Amino acid sequence: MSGARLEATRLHLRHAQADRDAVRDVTLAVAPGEIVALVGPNGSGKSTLLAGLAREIAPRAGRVCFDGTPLERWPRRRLARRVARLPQDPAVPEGLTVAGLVANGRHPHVAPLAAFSTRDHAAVREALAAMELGDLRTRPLETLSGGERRRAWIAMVLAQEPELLLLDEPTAALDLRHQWEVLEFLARANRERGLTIVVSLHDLEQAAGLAHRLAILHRGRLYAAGAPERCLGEEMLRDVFAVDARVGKDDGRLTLRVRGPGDPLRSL
Amino acid sequence: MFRRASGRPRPLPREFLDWQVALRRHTMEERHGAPHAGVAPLVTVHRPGPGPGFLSSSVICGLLPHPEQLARKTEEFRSLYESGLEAGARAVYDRGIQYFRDYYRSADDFDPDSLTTLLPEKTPLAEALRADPRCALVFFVFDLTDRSEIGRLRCLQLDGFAELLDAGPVYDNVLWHNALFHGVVDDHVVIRFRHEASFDTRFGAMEPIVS
Repeated sequence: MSGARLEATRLHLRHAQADRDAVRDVTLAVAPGEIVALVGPNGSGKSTLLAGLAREIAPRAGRVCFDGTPLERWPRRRLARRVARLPQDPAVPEGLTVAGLVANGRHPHVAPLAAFSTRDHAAVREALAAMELGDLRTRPLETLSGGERRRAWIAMVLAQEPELLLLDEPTAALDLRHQWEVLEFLARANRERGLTIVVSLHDLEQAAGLAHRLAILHRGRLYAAGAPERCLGEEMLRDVFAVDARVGKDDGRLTLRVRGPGDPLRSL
Repeated sequence: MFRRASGRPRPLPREFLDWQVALRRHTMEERHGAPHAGVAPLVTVHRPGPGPGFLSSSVICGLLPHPEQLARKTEEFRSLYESGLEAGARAVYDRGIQYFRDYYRSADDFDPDSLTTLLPEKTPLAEALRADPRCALVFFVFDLTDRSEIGRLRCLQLDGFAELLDAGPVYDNVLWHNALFHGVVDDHVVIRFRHEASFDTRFGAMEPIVS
């Protein structure tokens, strides 16, 4: 699978009717095959940035380019064949089965009024298998557990066969086992399919374990970006999350131990 | 309370400017950019209507580069900010601190009659200054634990008038200086305080300070 670079340059995003930018002057480039985790406290602009990267919010200033072309110049269907976004809490259409939902992922690939091709059917089958949903394919979504439902949504964006996947807190409200499954799957999709992933996560240890790079947001600005070992430090935790915490390593993975409230560098 | 604004700024007292430069050098070298109380005056302005008739607000004030260096310094601030964007605000901040360690060396390098601040344009202070630009800046430092020259007791009143700027070379300089520490901002106005007269107001006095 060929990859394409996603680039946000001097990006400012503002929600309709808001009087200030939720994302301010963010410059971020995501290389093909890379996993970038957006982290930051509540209200730091993670979801807004993801929406901007997916063209759901038009830049107030700056631009987002995919494969060298500004997002607004991409025909919607052509972009949807290459970029998929999964919001944090998508509405579940009543009565829709797992297979039906996953088949929706093929929408950008199927011409209007055309029937599914062999390739479309195969993509749905592969997505169901990848998320281990074969046995649940005929089940209505509302009968699934939270973890199963989340996997079904991820299978849908997989069936879309994008090069770039934008995910907003895919592990939110899942138990530990299902969180692990989702993250494992994302890592595998990146490794085996070369899928580029931009994902917002609340759990810093999970983000550090999954991502090649972290992009840390604070009050709408990019506080720091880089490899987890470089970004995830005690100073950052104090400045951004206002906690006094220790960063350690366990079995090669970064670990955090919060000791209490911190004293951030208020100028930032 | 306010003198009639002459519209003709006069140089700040040299010892005041020396103090301000020393405070900022100390801030960069010893406090990693955390402002000292000595750079945060109370700005007092007329505000007609119910109440005492005036408004006092604290601001963090800045020094402008000497007019001959203004454009070059603005470009340096801007370049420093923009070249660090991809690494993030923390890296920009740290590079800014590094840069400013060598920046505050001599009062000769700064505009002798101006102090500046940046405010959201809709704040009561900005609106009051728009209505009546006459103002007084009160600098008050009283910390018995600080035995250094920059921390000794000072109570100074600087009278003058404010210019509100939303574009131009001074606006750009203040904007990019601020961006190094707080990012770029919209809907803000630069207040350029022009100095006319200074007083030492310790213990109820009102002694003119003449450089």
